[in-house]
Formats: sequence, structure tokens, C-alpha cells
Amino acid sequence: MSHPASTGRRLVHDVDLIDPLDVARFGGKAAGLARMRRLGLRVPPAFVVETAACGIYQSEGRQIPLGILAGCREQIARLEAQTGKAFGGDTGVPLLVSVRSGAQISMPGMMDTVLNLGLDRRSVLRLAAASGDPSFALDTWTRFWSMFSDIVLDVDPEVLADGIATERSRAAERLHADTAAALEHRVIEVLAAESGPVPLNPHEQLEAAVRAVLDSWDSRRARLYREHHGIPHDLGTAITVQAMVFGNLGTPAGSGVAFTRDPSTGAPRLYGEYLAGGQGEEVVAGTRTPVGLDAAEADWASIVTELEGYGQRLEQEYRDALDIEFTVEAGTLYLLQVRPAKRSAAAAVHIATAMVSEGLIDPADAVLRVSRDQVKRLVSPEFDQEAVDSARASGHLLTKGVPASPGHGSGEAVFDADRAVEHASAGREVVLVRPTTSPQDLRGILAARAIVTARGGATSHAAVVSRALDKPCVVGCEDIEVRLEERAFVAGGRRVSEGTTISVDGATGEIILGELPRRVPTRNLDALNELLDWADDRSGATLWTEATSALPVELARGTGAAGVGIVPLTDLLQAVGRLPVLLKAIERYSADPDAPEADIEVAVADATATALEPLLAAAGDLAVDVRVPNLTSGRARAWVEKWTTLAPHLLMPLGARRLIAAYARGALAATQKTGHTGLGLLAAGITSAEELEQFAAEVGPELTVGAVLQNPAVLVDATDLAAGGRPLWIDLAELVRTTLGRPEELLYTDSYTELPPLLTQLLAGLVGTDAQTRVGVRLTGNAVTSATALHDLGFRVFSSTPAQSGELRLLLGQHVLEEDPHD
Amino acid sequence: MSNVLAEGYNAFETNKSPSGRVKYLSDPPSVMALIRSGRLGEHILLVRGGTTTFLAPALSMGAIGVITMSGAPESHLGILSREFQTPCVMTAWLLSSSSRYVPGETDDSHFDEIVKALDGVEVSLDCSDSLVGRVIAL
Amino acid sequence: MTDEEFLALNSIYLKKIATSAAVSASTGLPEQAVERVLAGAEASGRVIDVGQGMLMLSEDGVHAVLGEFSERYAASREDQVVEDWYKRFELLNSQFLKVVTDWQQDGGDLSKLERLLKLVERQVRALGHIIDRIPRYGVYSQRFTQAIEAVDKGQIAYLVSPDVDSIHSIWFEFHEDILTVLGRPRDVAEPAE
Repeated sequence: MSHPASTGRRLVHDVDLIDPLDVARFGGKAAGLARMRRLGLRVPPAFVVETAACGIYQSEGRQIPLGILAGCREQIARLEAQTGKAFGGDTGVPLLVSVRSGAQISMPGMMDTVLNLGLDRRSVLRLAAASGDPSFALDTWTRFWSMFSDIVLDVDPEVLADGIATERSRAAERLHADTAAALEHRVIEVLAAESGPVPLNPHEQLEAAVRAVLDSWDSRRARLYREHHGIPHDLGTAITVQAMVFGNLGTPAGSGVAFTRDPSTGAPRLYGEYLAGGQGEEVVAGTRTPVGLDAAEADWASIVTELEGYGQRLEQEYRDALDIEFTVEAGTLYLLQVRPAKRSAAAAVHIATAMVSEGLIDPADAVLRVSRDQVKRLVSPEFDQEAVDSARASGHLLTKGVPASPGHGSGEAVFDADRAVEHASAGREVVLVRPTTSPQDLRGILAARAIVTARGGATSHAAVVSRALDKPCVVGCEDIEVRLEERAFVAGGRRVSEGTTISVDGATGEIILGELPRRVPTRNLDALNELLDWADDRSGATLWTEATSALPVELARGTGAAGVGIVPLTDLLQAVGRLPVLLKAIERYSADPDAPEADIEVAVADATATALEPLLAAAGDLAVDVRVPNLTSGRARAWVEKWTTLAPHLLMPLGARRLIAAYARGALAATQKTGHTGLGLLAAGITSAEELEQFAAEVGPELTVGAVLQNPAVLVDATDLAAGGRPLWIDLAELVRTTLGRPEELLYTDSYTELPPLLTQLLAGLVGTDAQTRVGVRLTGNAVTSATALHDLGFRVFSSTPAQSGELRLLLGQHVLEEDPHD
Repeated sequence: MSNVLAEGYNAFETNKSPSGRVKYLSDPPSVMALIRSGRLGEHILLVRGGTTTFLAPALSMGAIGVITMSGAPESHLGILSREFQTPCVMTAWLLSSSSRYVPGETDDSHFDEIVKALDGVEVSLDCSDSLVGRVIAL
Repeated sequence: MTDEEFLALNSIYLKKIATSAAVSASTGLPEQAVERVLAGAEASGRVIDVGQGMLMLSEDGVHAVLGEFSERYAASREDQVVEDWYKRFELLNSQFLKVVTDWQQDGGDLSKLERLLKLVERQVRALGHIIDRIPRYGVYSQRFTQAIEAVDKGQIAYLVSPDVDSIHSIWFEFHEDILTVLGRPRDVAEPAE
């Protein structure tokens, strides 16, 4: 059965007249163009051959339905009228078109896009004249042949390029009737040898391209793909033909990109730039400097206004900030492509919250629009920018390496893990500088504020562990020569010896001499907190943040933390330089656990009070949970001299009862002095509910007592613990480690994506009861990804570093929204 | 500090740092002999690089590291080394020499010098950089 | 050498190391026939078992195969058509190695896949132009086509893995094959840096 010509004609449409929602009939590209046209936006004119044509083509034994070609000719004539250009022919500025396949579903084997169709040896000269740029005209023409031969004729474009090299370079030297004719002649020769006679007339080339699209629907690979995925063969592909516009024709002319909101700050004003007389690729390549839209030349003023109008309309339609690619040809603005705009972390948050207040989106949408990485970036303390600029200006930039883990940190340069630990335990900040790091350096990495390695790349040990710990790290500093014997390194022509303070920027890779002050930029925190509050509304999560000094506590407050914890007492003692008191006490009690050693106990109590006061004072009305020292930890093993000779009983959670009493007295004194009322003292490493009660008895009734659960044995008592009413913290990383039996050195390089099933089972016993017991989970580093699984189990209280708390709140909010968008 | 003997183009970035005694393989029979000896895993293999295909069996049978004296990461050997994830330093040059491989212009003395310097030496390969691979004396 | 022997031994020559199952899959010869031929070759010292069923050619074996090539393809070595075809192949080969390397280094980005597969399809079409000179090459077209199909079905191992008849393995063997037909040492044929 053959279809009358009128059928064919009816299958070819002006995209202005089609239904933008009918992707099945017109393909994604044409539907997208139609959508933009409905909004009143000017796009280069286009027409589409609907998918039904494909089916008729196949069923008629590969005959293009009568009337399709006539319909295409009519549409081309319309394009000519609308653009004032000529397709083929002998006069006028040439009309060039692109030809695209467009099925509802993409699949292998479909035809790629052909651009710049419409030139021949005469019109290329007219294009050169109209643009004033012969090399542009020649490039456009040869690019067409390259694509046409590759895509439509199945000829290797390298073979073509090789074959026409001589004629092309002659035409490049001087584009004229003779050189253009010679080039065209050569193209025909080469292609004829490869695939037979080649169409020269643009109308014939268009027909060949249309046929190639229709044929590609039926290519072997496309067929097989459809069979494999159960896609019907009669869906067909559409063919979209669109006029091309050029930023170097007429005046004013140019190409550029505009963002509907500032991509760095999110401020709601049009931001972007353009290149007058240029093409899109030049803007991207950065070979010439574009003009900012805010500094547009006089003849561009009305175009900028038009762009602003389009921008607003598009934002209403797409409900997001957008990036718009545009071209101005002979004073007329055309939009080429519209996409959601890439934006900085700060912009993402500001845009999301602004759009909620503008009524464009709702809070749930906003929570889903921002990513965890973006939140992380916003809450890390940064070097003061002025201080950085002035340091660079004074020649303090030592070197630049490969940024491996973002963040900013300063400290005294040290060259091995032992020294790092030694200095850190005396309360000094250090930066670990090594040729490279290995698992044996873990305790050094933990003690350091930043890590620098001379060798290695973004996947080296130092990089991986630093990212897990959220510490700034720069690797691959080729310029650094580490001289371990001299305890110094040489970089940028300077010698830096151990103990000299340096600053590390893990985002740019810069290593700077001297200390640079750090602050959390506050300008974005309000918007961020608004967003995170919405996330908390959905997840019901409460977050505590870890802190050992005033800065993080302030940050914690600023980001809406419910409390401060878990704080290791050891860290606090270290920060005020009183750790030696504790170490001495441990040795004494090891010798004789019950001997009254009043002076040592007073010293420990005193040290504890001194260590706690600053933290409690800064915490104000925030609750604080402090964990007493755990003598079995790797840290203890490293710091306590002769740890191996300690009496074994001292290693039990309740082994050093006098010490516990001393901590308690010091803690009580600190609360009385500062007036803080929310302090909790936590036992570490307990293995039963009974042990917790004994600990509580030792501490006394005046303080709240709780525990940190660090090994699976204690979870057997889950029910009793949950009913006990004493605050509990689950140290997740430590629990996973002890459940799986992994050594401490691998703690941060291990990444597990699922909790061990045993652990999930045991943990479930702690939630879901009616008891008023607060049960929280401490998440660190990679363990943050377990938060969603724990939330599903029923946990709602979490603790993390200040840097991770925002990320965690977002993660939980997004998790709940993804599970049930209408929650 | 480390003693870098040679550098070259890194076929792919990895933390794997294999070590062993360098063994120069000049032809297919030497590859076969090494495989049959069961000592393949003790050696870092050194080859010219032009005749890369005969090394394929060594990769299949568990070679731990390769140094070539010519050939680019975009070659069959480069592709295979990435597929097997066997660290591979290509077109290596000695740091102690100014001689460099130039396609079509290099004579045997360049290769002989490298073989002489590396064959039989205990080394490890550092391929942690995205572009440069290093041969380090142990 | 019989045709069967040549096909089987050549297969090991091209793969450098192979099991008899792999030889059967690549040549289309039935496994039993392959095993018979290879057992004979082992007995005569042309093939060596290096462990785990992996076979390699001995020096004698290589010599014998190369001798067969010289005899069977003496005419092709003088044939300008084959020479021109090979020059064309070199261009495609450089593109292929580049695209595969690119794909591997990008962590296996699937959008690069299309480009790779279109290249291989081009090679299949090119093979169609040389079949009249070297009919044996029809097998390569089939192998490439099957590998493309497997990849299109989501079996990505069929791109580069040496454990299956992957696109890269087939290409690698083919390159070796055409070079040997032309009597060329490998050195000269490595891609320019």
C-alpha cells in the first residue's frame, strides 16, 4: 500500500506548531525547541519529520514517503524567508542547517548530528564575504564534509582529510573561486573512490542525511538493542532540521553564555559574557577575552534586556537557575541551548532558599537541590583571603602541589609520625611533611592539622586517608626535597626546618610559609541553616558535634547543634598541656592500684577541671558529653611509656577506680565554676550494663553518667542498656573495626559500604523501645555513609565533626525525601 | 632517600608498587622459559617495546611489573597493562644518561645501555603519578 | 601443513598464548579437531604446554607458521591493493588505540563507547573490501560483530578483557595477522608517538 504524497507532507512540521509534550511523535530535540517557542523565546527556526515517517519508510521497502521531500522543501523555503538567507542557489547569504536524529529512547547505532549542511564551492565564498572571515568559512565547509563523510557516507574522515590536504591548504592560503572549486573537486574524487557518487547540491545532501537517519533506525545495532530491551521496532525516529546561526554575521553579532543568577554567589541577577564577532567555541576555549554582560557595549544594551526577560521567563518555567547559550546574528538574539546552571556551593544554597521564598519551589525540593559536597565546602574554616594575598605578595608561597583533600590548616612542620604525636600531645599544631606516607604513619596523620607529601597522586595513601579524615592534604609536590636526616625540606629555593610554621591549602595545593588565620565564612551560614532546618524537619535527626576548643563550639552553635560530643578528655588535657599529669598517674596506679595517692589524685582532678573549663564556658547552654580516657586505645599504647608493663587490671574500663573518682571531682568542679548544667561523663570500652552501673557509682550522683559503646560484647545487654536511662553513644567506626577484627592502622583506609549484619542485628536492640534513654551514633570519616541505614533502623541522634554535621543533616533529609517524596 | 634509576611514561596511575629483580626479555623463547620456570612473579620485566606482543603471555600468567624502552601508553601493551592492572613504565630513560629514545632514529647502543644498567638489579616501580613512572633501586 | 593445522597453529601464534578452547572459538574449528591437531603439534615439538592448559609455540612452531605465511601469501606481498589496504588500516588502528586508551583512562565512560563501536564497525566494513584477497579474514568480521553484539547487550568485558574474545583481543590478533601476511617485523609498525 503506498501513501499519497499528502500524507508525506503532513508528516513534516514547523516546530512552532507542534505539541511540546509529544516526545514520542517528535523526539526530544524538537519537543524541547517547541517548549521554548511556547514561552516566546526566539530559537533558530526548525522543522521536524515525525517518527511515523520512519515506519512508513521501512514498510515501503526503504522508500522515502512521497511528499516528505516536498514537505522538507516547503519548510526550507520558510526557513529562508525567516532568516533572509538562501539554501543552495547562486546568491545571498547561505542558509546552513543541522540535521539530527531523535527517538524517544536513545540507543546505539543511531545517526550522529550533521552540522553546516548547505555550502558548496560558490556559497562558501559568499559566506566568507558576509562574515569577513575566509578561514571561518573554509573551516565550516570542511567540517561539514568531515561529518557528512563519517556519518552519512561511512567514510573514515581521516582518509578524507588525508586525501584533500593539499587542496585544503591552498584554499586556506587564498579562498577564491579556483581554490574552492579545486577543493570541492578533490573532495568528490576521494569520496567517490570510497563510496560512490556524492551529492553536491544542498537539497540532495539534505535528502541523503534524512535517508541516513531513517536507515540508522534499522541498523543492526539499533535493532539488536531494541530486541534485547523489548522496545517496539515501530516507534521510529524523528528528524529535526534547524537553521544554524553564526556570531560573526552582521552587526551586532557574537556568541555567549548567560546565567540567570550569579553562579558564584547566587545573587538573582543576570550574569554572563559574550564575544563580539565570535563563535561559541571561542568563548569556551578562552582564546579571546569576552565582554561581561554588565559591561556590554552600547549596541548590545537591548540584547541584554531581552536576555533578562528570557531568563525570568525560563526560570518560572524550569523552576531553577539556568545557563543559556546564545548567539546574536545581525542584531537578532537567538537562544541555542538552556540547561540547569552549574553553580558554586554558596550559590546552590542561596538559590535554593531564595527560590523557596519566591514561591518557585518548596522546601523539600530545596533540600534535594543541594549536594553533600557543597555543604561540606561551606562549613570548613578557610584562610582569611587578605592574609593569603598578602603572603603571596611577600613571596611566602613555597610551592604548589596536587590538591588531594580540601581544607585549610597550619602548623609546625614535622617529618615523622613520632614527632607529630609528640608535639600534638603537648598541644602544638603540626603539619606532617613526608616523601610519602604508609599505614605506619597513621598516628602521625591523625595528630597533624594538614599533610604534605613530595610524591604521590590523588589516589596515594596520604590522599585517601586525609580525605577520610577530612584533613587538608597536598601531594605530588615535585618541587619539595625532603631531607629527613637534616629534619628539613627545601622548596621554592628556601630551606624550611622542623618546627617552622607553614600553611596548607588543600583546595589549591599551595604551601605557604607562616601561619594564616582561619575562619568559617559566615556569609552563607544563615541560608545554609535554613536549608538544613528543612532537612531536619523531614528526618527528625538531632546532631551533636565534636569539639575540643572554642572555635568548633562556636561553629557547632552556628550550625544548630544540639550538643557537643563526644569529647575525649584526653584531647582536652592535651590542649591545656596537662596530659603528662595523667600519664604519670597511670604509671603510679599501675604499680599499686589501691594505694591512696592523694597528691596525684588532686593533680588529676585539678587538670581535669582546668581542661574542661574553657570548653564548658564556650558551650553555654549546649549539653556536653565527655569520655574518660581509654587505656587500651592505640593512642594510649603510643603515649604511655612502658604501656606493655602496665598492670593488666588497669586496662579494664573500671580498673583505675581512683582515677575515675578524680575525673569526676574535676568535672564537678568545672561545672560549678562555669555554671554549666549539661555535662555528661562517659565510660569507655565497657562490656556490660553492670559495668556501666559500677562506673556510675564511682562517679557519684551529681553528674550525668553514660557510656561509649566500642565493642560488640556490650550489645548483648542492649535491652538493659536501653532501659537504663543513661545516655549512650555508639562509636560506629570502632564497633565495626572490633566486630570485623581489623587493626587500627587500617581504620581510615577501609571503606565498607554496608554494616556487618551481626552489628545491625545487635544495634537494633537499642532502639524502638519506649525508654527515655538517649542513644546516639558517633559517625566519623567514611562512616557517615552508614547514617541512612542507621536512620532506617530508628536512630535519630548522631554526632560528627563540625565539618561533617551539615553534610549529615542534608544526607538524612534527602534520604527520607527520596524514600517518600510526599512525606 | 630513594634512588631513582629511571623514569618513563606511566601506563596508568596506581598505588601498586611491585618490586623484584629486573629481567631483560629479548625474545619469545625467553618469555616462555621464564613462565615455565615458575619464577615469573619474582621479576620486573624489561623489554625493548617494539616487539611488545610477545610479552602478552607474561601478563596473562601473572607478571607483576613491566618496563619498556619504547612504545607509548597508547599501544597494545599499554592497553593490556591497564586491563591486567600490571604497573608499566614505558619508554624509560636512565636518569644517569642523556640518551633518549626517538622513533626511527635510535640505535642499539641506547637500549644496550639501559639493559646494562637495569638487568639483574633489585628495583621497585612507583606508578602513583598520573604521567611519570619511576624505577627505584632498592 | 594442512589448512586445519595452519589455522590452529596460526591462532596460537597470533594470541601468543592460548587454550585449545580459545583456538577453537577463534577459528571456528571444532574443539575435537583442534585438540587433535595441537596434540600432534605438541608431540612434534611445535607447541608447548606452559601450565594450566596454556599453550605457546616453540621456536620451531613459530618458524613453521612463518614459513606457511611466506608460501601462502607470497602473491599478497606483491599486491598493491593489499599494501594500500594496510595503509588505510594503520590510520584506523591509531584511532582505535587512542579511543580504547581514552576509554580505559576515563574509568570506562560509557558515552565513549559509541565512538569505539562505530570505529570497529568501520573496520568490519573495511574487512569486506579485502575478503576477496584473503578469504580467511571473513572470520574476523564475524568475531568483531559478535563482540559488538555482546557489548551492546551490556557485557562490557567484550571490549578489552583478555579472558573472552573481546574487541581488543581480536584487533590485536588481526594486527599481528596482517603484518605477518605482509612479512613485516613488528618494530616498524608501532604507532608513532
